[in-house]
Amino acid sequence: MYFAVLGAVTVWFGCWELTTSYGITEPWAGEWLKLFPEGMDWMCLWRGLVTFLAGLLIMWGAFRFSDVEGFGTSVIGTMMLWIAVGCDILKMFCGSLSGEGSWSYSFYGFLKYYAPPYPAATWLLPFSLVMIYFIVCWGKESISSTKKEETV
Amino acid sequence: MTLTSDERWDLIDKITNKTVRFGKYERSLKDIIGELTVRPSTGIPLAIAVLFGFFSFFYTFGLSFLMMLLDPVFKRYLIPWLVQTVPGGGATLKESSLIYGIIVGEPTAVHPFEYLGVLTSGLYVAIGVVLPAVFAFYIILTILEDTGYMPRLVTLIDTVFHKIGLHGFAVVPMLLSLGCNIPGVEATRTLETRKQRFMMMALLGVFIPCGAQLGVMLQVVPEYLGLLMLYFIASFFIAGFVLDAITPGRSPEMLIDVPPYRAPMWRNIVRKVWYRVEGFLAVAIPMVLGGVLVVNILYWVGAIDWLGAVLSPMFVHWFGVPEETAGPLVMAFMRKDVAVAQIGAIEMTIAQKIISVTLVTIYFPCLATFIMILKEGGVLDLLKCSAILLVSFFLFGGLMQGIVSVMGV
Repeated sequence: MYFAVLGAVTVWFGCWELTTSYGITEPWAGEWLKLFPEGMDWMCLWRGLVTFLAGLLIMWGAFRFSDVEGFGTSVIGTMMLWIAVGCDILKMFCGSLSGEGSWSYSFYGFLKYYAPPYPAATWLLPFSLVMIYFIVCWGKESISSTKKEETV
Repeated sequence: MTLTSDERWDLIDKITNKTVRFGKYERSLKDIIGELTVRPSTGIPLAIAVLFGFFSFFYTFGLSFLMMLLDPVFKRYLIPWLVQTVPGGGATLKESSLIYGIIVGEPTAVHPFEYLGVLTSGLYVAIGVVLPAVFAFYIILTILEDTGYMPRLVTLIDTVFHKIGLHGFAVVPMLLSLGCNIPGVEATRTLETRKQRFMMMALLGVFIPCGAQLGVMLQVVPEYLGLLMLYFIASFFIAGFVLDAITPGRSPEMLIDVPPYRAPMWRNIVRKVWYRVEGFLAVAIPMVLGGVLVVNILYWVGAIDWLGAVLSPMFVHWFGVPEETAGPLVMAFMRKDVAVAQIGAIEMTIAQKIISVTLVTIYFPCLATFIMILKEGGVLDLLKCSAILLVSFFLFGGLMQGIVSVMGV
């Protein structure tokens, strides 16, 4: 249930990122008709697609979570989300250390890179970390079942 | 000593009891993820995410971070020091000495790209722009190789490549070429038939921009890099489809052993990246410096202006770019990245910049790649590649003009 909701929210965040990268802030806006609107952010569009697909996989896997393949599908979806978030965090980290190409660092200049607004996928990171618990549990179960088989 | 049949079976049993573990095999999470990675329904979304991570790391770490760290070395220290120290500097290039012109270049230049001196523009492009891009690219490529994701990507896109007469292994030279076309051409050896190798060399030379070029493209037209990449990928497959139809030879099926996922060993990654960067520097730096020198001399003797005047009707009417683009196109034969950088220094509209960057990319590969094609494929393949390059240059360059006109850029 938890991962179904997480997947649905991720899909929604992905859609939102896709439309904003396309320059659309209102559903009835004329930008829908333009193939490549002015100021279109390509990397944001790509990230939006990744978030959207990650959400679909998390949700798809969540409906058959007890099944090995369903669980694996959700793990792949979560990994995709982590890739998108990892790239955002790397961007913040590198931005804060680059000193904007001047080698002059100020405390505020360093911190401003970590201030909001954050990309949509970043907000989902804490919620997606729950998956680590399930991966560890699944690993332990797998080891104990193998030991039982060996004893038999 | 000879054993009887029973004794042999006893020995086999003893060895088996000591070495083989019996039990029901449980698929681990690694196995399941490994299987799902090569299944299109889950593998393609993951591939989209991995390639996003790939280019995001390349852009963030290589181009934004390392480039910004290196920028002040050139802009604040090295170039001003050279301008002050090298003797014979005048108010303009014509009033400067030969040595000054070669080492520093244009004294009125503002941006390092505009100097065109061997130690100013040459070193800036080679170390300040190209090196960070190539370094970041090789780090991420090596990580993908060592985790075991690359063979899965090969398996996943095998079907797509079969449509153009290649197979999944073609992704290896393709990705390597995004770093540098030279190892890309070398990696075509993994393809089985002569037809596949020739096709791949021709397609790499025309449609795959190297890491250095990508770096400069990001500086010249950053907001349109995605569009350009989409255009090159689409053109790659269209041209591949045509080449498959007209090139004689066969395209056999592929058999590949997919290894399990493993955590990469950092020592191996450092070593591999070092070897690759070292190899790249040995080829690229002399080529960049030599290329800058050649363009410098061509400018001085007026060859670029003459070439521009001769080719201007074609550039202006067919491609819609200014006649000054002829200079960077000559340069592109030596180093494409320097050529793209020079385009950034020419006064142009955004649409013209996009077309010019496209032209430089699909124009002849750089001299080093040309030599590699000659070495790997022979004279005949090189001549055929050149013919394909010329046709593609006019077709896809003209098509790009049509696209940007429709887009209204």
